[in-house]
Amino acid sequence: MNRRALRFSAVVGAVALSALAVAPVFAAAPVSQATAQSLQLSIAGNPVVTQLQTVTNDGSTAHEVNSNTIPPLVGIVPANNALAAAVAVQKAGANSDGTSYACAGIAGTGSSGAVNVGTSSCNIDGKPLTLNLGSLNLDLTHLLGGDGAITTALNNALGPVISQLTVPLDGLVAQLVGAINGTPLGKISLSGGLAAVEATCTANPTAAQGHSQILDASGGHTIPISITIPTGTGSATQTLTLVNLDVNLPAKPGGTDVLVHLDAVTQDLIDELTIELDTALGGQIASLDAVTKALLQPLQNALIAPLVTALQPALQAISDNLLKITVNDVTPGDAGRSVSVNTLKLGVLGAGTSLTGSALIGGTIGHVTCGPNRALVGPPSSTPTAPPTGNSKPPTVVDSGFHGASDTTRNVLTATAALMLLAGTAGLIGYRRMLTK
Amino acid sequence: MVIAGFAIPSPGIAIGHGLGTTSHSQYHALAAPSDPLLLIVPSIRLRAPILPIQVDSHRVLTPPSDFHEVGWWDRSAKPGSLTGQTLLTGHTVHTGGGVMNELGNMRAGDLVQIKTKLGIVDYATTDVFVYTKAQLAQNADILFDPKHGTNRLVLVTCTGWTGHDYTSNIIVFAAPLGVRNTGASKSKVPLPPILTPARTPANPPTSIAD
Repeated sequence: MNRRALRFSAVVGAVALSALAVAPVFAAAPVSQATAQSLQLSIAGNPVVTQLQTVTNDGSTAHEVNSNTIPPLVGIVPANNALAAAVAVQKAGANSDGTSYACAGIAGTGSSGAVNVGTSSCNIDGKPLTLNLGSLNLDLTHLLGGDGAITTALNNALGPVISQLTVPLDGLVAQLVGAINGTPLGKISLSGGLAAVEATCTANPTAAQGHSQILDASGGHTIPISITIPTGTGSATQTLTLVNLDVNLPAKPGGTDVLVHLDAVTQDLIDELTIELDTALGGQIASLDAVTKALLQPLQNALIAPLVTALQPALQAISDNLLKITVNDVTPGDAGRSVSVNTLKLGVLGAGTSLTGSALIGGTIGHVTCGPNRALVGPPSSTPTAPPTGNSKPPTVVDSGFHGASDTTRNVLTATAALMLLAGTAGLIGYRRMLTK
Repeated sequence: MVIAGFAIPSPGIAIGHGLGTTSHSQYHALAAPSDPLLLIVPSIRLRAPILPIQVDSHRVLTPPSDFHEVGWWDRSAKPGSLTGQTLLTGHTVHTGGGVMNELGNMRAGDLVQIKTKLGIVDYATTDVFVYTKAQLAQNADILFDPKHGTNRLVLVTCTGWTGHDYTSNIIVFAAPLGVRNTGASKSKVPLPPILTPARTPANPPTSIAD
């Protein structure tokens, strides 16, 4: 019985040792790998879109994982009806020979071309794409509430004339708050116009390369940041280009932060809002009874200033945090055997915007990684040769015309052939004469 | 309420760099850079062994003395490299028989193949043009710089025989496609991907001298 137990233990031990010996093979790093992500979006650090494709190859089979969390975004941004165009443009491949590639990006209408990468390509099915990164609440309710900054400003402005009013102050404030709420203040949209954003990479067992590109509508490399404000007449809007960001920047690790002229943006916002508030208040005052109207109209300009002043911290917060754009981030890793590319990163309304209370929205368009890869069986032979000799500078003369010797050779061959033909003919004639004799 | 958005509404920018829309899924990359061994250009019936050659101290590159062979500048990129340019040259013989006598008859899209120990790399011809000797010297760095480009193949031979000498060079550029996957069709030459086109000389002539 003991012997049997010993034998059993020995077998179990051998199996365990074999398993341990084999385990590292299964746990080994993949032969090749790549990821592609056309769009990533997070709110307050929580991913809401992680359209990530990951492919690894174990040396014989490619394993692909697609993470798709688009439906939540559709709920967040119902107006975005072309999201499929964005998610389609991503592709990653990992081959058993230790090579991998990836490409990801988005493109506007008419971009029927392909993002080519290494020996493969991403076909871009260009469709109109309006990609809203989210809706943010400026918390007007708080600003306009009983203790809100705007309400306080209104009270201060109206206080001196309150005794002359025939309507209660609260009622009047409520009317004006309603007017402000009805202004385009809540409908401001900021956008950047782009034609195409692409990120690509390739890798083999020894090296990886990445590339990023941003194109505008004219084929150039600028991102126009625009503000669109309804004019108050129907559905008409006015669009003002706040700044044209030059993104024609060389790729580098970490990318380059594109600085928005914050002061200019803020002032443009204030100017536009001043006009809109003036119009809205004027309309609201005009609808009041004649006595109140007569009292408030001279105060209109005096009301605008504190209103804008009250909004200014919020606007400054927007400016400070609205558009942190980083472009052309191509970061190598693993001693050059891997690479990560982020073509366009956007940070929208940072968490520090206490007045808004809104969350940080972060987005990346065009993200790919390639490698690190390895050769399946040992490092691939790179055809060992003797170290190159000779001049290391490119040639300025390529002397690849052959003359002289070939003429001689050809002439000699021709003459020899002619002589042989002549001799042969003479021989035949002689042989024939001999036969006829 | 402020809607912060990013719109990509603009039409009309194709970001493909290839000459067409053919997919490159039938190719994969060479496992590692490898010395070129054999040059094959079906359209001009060229099939020749490749030998490494050097640039001399006067920056002259001379093909192998056997005009049936092709020379590879051994400081240029190897096929399968991710960067650089691969420079091959072969003789033209004005009386006929030179390995690259028909180079000027190549056209954009023609298939070029280079056999290595690790596989056969396909290229697609993108440009065929003629430079005078002076133009070639002036643009040498752009044409042949081994540190630039994405493994473009450059084929060079002489042309313009005056009865005494050759006055010009025929230059062919070809973009790498990769190693054809097993079972992929050989009847069609996919068009080349050019991620970051190597610098090309300003205003390269497009006509071919006879």
